[in-house]
Amino acid sequence: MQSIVGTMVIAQEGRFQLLDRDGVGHQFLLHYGSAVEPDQLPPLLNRRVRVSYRSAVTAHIIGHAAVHIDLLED
Amino acid sequence: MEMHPRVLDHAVSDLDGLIADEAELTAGVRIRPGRSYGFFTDTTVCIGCKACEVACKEWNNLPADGIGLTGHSYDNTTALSADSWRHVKFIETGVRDDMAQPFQSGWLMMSDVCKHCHNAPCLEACPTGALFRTEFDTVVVQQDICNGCGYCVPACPFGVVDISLLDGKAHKCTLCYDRLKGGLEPACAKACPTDSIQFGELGELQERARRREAELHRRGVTNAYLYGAPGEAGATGGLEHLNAFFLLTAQPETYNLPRAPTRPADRVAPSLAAGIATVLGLAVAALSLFTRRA
Amino acid sequence: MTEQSAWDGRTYYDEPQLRPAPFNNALVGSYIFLAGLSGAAQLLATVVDSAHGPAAPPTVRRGRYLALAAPVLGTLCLILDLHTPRRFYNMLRLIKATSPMSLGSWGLVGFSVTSAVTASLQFAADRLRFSWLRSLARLTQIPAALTGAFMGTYTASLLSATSTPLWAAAPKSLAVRFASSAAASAAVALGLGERNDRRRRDLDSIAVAALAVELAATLASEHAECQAGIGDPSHSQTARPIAIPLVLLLTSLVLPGRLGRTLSAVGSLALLGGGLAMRIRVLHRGDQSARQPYRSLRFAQLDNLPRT
Repeated sequence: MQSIVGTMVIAQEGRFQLLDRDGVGHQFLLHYGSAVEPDQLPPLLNRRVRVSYRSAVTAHIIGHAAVHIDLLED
Repeated sequence: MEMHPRVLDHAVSDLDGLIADEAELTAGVRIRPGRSYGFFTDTTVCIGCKACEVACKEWNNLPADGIGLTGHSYDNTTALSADSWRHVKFIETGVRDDMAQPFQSGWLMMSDVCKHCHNAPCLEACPTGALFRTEFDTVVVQQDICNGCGYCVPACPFGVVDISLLDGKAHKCTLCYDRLKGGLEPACAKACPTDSIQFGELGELQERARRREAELHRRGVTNAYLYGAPGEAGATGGLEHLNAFFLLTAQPETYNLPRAPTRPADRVAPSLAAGIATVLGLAVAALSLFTRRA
Repeated sequence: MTEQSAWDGRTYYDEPQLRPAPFNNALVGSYIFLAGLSGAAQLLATVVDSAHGPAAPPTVRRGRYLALAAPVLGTLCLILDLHTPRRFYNMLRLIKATSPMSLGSWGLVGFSVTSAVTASLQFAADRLRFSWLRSLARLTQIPAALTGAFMGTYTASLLSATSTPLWAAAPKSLAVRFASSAAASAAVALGLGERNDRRRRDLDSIAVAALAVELAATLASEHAECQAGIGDPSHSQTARPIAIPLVLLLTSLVLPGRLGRTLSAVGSLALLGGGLAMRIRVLHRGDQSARQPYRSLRFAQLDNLPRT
């Protein structure tokens, strides 16, 4: 499992977008096994988080399946 | 569409807040809960720009899927899916064969979407209640309830709703439920440059569509018809009508649409009755066999 | 309705028009088979118990234990088939009459509870020898048998209440097929462990009758599919998995002694294997019909609309 640090800029249903240090946006959906619920995403908007995810390239989607989200204290 | 007088209040682009009841300015409709809303898609003015696909992906933060070229005219999206809620279909009909008429010139373009059926089979099939009817008479999947049983998927007569294997839930067009709550029209309707996709109150849309159909017939486009309007193709078999309906100029099958879909829930009672009668019949036969021998 | 010309048979680049059910056919097929087997076993055990009075023979005991197969194994299959399994309990948020999956979830709960209670009472009665335990089991077996009857057949209405052409084309005959297959499976399953020769032959006779019904219903299904224009001529072998156990069991009934018992056992195993295979095959063929746009568009034509 990989992880990435960034600022959450969009949260829509169970999908969110992370903006990394280089200004690149990364698309995520919540993995079916993740304990994170969709309504837990909006409070994380504009906060820096670390997301652990599974890459979804093999699923023919440009996006990742987030398993765990850590809020980073800034 | 005439300009609403309030448009003059926003002559300069200011992004410091939401415009109250913005749909009044962009679509000529004030969005209020308790009324029936939907789409009327006039495919005769569609230019195949796919702004609707892009706007939908952008607003709903949907990941790109269906990557690659299909070779099916300009349609590289192929179908509606868990991550594609607008899909523009392209059919080239004899464009290069002969001297085609200027009108349409043999191109058929149609922006497909969830039909938000009046008697939505997906909603009737859903055992968890995740699929529900909103206050705007649209059909939405609640993402915090769906457990991915997948029963809505084969129920849909149009093949719209889909399960995402990554997040394990069902997804489809929400008719921009969050935008409606904020008084904004759906992203696809707002982005459509030719007003092929028209958002509004269903009754008003159906009247407008009938007028457009009559106008086209008068101008010689006799194969124009409404798909999904009450009593028309697509609204058959107990579905009543589709909140998202279309003006088409070729048979439904050309656009990969079913001509006469049916409401699956009508098959529940006859099936249960036949099955239970069989079981009980065999049980009675068994009982008579055992009691005679006892 | 605005008159349009009849369909010329062309599709949209041969792209599927419908979506197939995203079920794991092995898991769901197994559940459907187990639900039928367990439900019918409970019903059959109740029938035998009614016929032979309060002295419940071993047949009834086996039936009550066999009825636990679906609640235990089947439920596991269903939970594993969900794409978000940890939310399995959401199936019980509401009950919806238009959704056989909703009705079935509650049916499974009701059947599981009543069958578990009946089986527990049976277990206790065998060890503690209080007569009221047996009497209570005779009472609780009634709701268990009724929900069992539902379990044996609702899965067909679950498949028919979709837009998948093969399942929607012949809802009544599919229901009769599932119900009679369930009854036949339960009868031979109880017969496999049966020492009493006369009762085993009675159970085999019930299985033969049920198989005959299933055969007729299968032929009716194929006819209905052809009438609807979605018949698959390459697949005409559906009678064989029913005919083979039918012939074996029928032969075993007329042959005496050891040969008869062996044929009965072989026929029973063939029936059980065939029953499971039939469910999985129905699921697989249904998915195929959903993926083929020529068939799904042909099914959604005006001549296939129900007559009002």
